[in-house]
Amino acid sequence: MSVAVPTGTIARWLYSTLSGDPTLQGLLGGAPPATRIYERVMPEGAASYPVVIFAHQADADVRPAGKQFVMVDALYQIKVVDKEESFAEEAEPVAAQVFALLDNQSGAASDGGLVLYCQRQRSFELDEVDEGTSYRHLGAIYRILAQ
Amino acid sequence: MTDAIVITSDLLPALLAAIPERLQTEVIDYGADRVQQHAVEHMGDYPPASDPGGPPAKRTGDYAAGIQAQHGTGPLEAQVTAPGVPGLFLELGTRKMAPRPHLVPATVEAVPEIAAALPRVVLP
Repeated sequence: MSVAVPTGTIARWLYSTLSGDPTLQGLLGGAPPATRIYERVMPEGAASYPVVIFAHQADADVRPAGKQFVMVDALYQIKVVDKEESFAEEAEPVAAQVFALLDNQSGAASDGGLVLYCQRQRSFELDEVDEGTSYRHLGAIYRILAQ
Repeated sequence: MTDAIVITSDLLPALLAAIPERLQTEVIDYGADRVQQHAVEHMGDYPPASDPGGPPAKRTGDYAAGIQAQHGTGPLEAQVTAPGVPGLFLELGTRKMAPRPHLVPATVEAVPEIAAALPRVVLP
């Protein structure tokens, strides 16, 4: 069994899966190392949209019979954020590509851990207004099993 | 704007289906109470400010007090509600603020407790 930390495995797998897809990079308008894919929050000073943000929401260890750790059962949010004015044109295709890349997928992460299962559970939308500019968040909660 | 975050469980529907409907309601109400309690109990006091990725800190206590369990919101349904926009932004974050998850983790934490409570409900 891997000794990787499962939530670290998940973050690595999410980043590599998303940043490694040329279609998504084309839609985001960035390229490594400026991928426009961030964990938890946009870095200070980042001003280009759309962006993809992923973040851990919750997890629980899976221990059948109550003892041996088998895997982690985690919930992550993955969302695309864009200015309202360009959302339909730019962000919705990004959201669709993120879904295509992640839903019902699995794979190995760079730390040796495994993502066994990734599936979208429920989508959400948020509207944010900051200094007179409207932004939209379109994303979903994904359930991810990893070890 | 999304008005609800719905978390599904593999475990609970099968367990609930095995007991009478009257008891199912009791279990669901108990589960909503546990989610509400967990959501509030993990919030620390401000200062210090909450850590990114952790539960929010209580400043005035108004937000925590506004997290409520509501029983009987539908057939075999209960809800846990939080004050609207602040709740969503705390749970899911903004462009500049990392999420402070507290409702989804509370739900995940409550699921095994609900399952463990079933024998006590069925065999009081």
